[in-house]
Amino acid sequence: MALHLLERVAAGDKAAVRDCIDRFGGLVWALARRMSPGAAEAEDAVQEIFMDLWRSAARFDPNIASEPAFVTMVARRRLIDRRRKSQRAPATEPFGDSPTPAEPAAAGRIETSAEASLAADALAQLRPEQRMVLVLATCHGLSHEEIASTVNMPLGTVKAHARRGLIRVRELLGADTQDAMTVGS
Amino acid sequence: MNQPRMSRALSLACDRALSGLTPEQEMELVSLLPPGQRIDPGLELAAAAIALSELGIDEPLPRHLAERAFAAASGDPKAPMLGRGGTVPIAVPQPDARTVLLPSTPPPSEPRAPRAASPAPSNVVSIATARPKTNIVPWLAAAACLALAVGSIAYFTTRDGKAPPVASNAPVDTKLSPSAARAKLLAEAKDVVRTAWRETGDQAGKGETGEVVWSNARQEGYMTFRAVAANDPKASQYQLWIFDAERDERYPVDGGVFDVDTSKGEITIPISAKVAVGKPTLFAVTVEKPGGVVVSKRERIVVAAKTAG
Repeated sequence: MALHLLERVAAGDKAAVRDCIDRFGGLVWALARRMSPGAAEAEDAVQEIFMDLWRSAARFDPNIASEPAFVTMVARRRLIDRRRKSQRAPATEPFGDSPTPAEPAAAGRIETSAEASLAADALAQLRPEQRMVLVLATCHGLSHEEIASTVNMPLGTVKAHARRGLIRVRELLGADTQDAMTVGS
Repeated sequence: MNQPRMSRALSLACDRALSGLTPEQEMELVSLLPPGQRIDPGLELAAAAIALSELGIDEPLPRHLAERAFAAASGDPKAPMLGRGGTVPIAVPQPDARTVLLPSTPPPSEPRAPRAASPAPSNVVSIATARPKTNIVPWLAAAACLALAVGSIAYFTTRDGKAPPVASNAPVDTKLSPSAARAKLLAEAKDVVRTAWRETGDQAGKGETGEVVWSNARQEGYMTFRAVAANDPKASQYQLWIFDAERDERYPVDGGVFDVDTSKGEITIPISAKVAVGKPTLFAVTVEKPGGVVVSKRERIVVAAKTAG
């Protein structure tokens, strides 16, 4: 059975690193752009995310999560950490100007995964306001307070929607992830 | 673990998965767990899955960032390809521990087939970040787009030279900022079309990487701009035109007159279509006199965004 990309990275396959960047670069970039306060921060975040990915590749287990989901978990964790440290609101500067000439890398398409499919199904079952809260939190990195302010919803309601919706999606993802992870980042 | 402690732990675990915890909250969460027990990874995986399911637009990683990431990997003493096996304590599943925070949900009898990897939506245009001095490809793309725009904007006029009747657009929640309303639209609408702006060669649109989002069902949409040059409202204003496959292409829908100032960052402009849009095929922004025009001379098309229509 062929090794997954991340397993090859963990095994020291340098070509796999390049393939990994090509395959998941678009996903990481999309998340970084949405969850960073500006272009420079997004670019820095991309580097940190990939460094995290190389270092944690050995922990990837295809029985627990797909590669896109694993990459997304790693990326979101790093972006959340950066955001909490900076305590700055997103989108405060334009993304259009790169410090150096840039051209798109190949294969930037966002990948789908089994988890994403299940999550989409789960989101479709949620009430619109629940779905909105979850999307703003997971894709745009907004805190509960920011969501409450953005959509003019009581903070307690936002928290309730977020909690119930997340648990619902988690339930639909099944028990494959019952294995635990360590605390810390 | 008693019920209040479990409820609090679950609440913190959800917050952790969605937006992270403060160090104090992290310590509180750990303190709530019985010794040896771990945080449920399923919540973080669920949050990742939601993000993954919602990220539908193609935003390729700029080449220079890809090269930088590769170079960093090659030079990182902890990078696995150097065989040093460094690790970072990032939260990833550990196969040898069990979680207790949530009741176990039995797995489906058969794994659900993953949704087939679908190609990028045809209405999505990759964001061109290349500069013309270094790569001709984006220029060709922009030129093609410009040709399309010019061809489509053959005649900017209404049939009788009068302003078209105002359509009854779906009500937009005026309590929300444009960016928040856009986020809400993206979260709620099922038929949202997203398409990136393309440069046309006009200096005012150089480097623009924003996009248009539009819901036909709601007749609601938003434009985002990141680099379009600021206008002097006393001298000129920008105006959006929406080309509709269900209308004569000589008569694009007036999408509204607006001002732009991206000096402080990305801005979001609501689209104000003056008539109902049936099937948008192209969004084009022109520079017009203050207040806009009914008939455009199409002298300056700043950016354009094509849909799949």
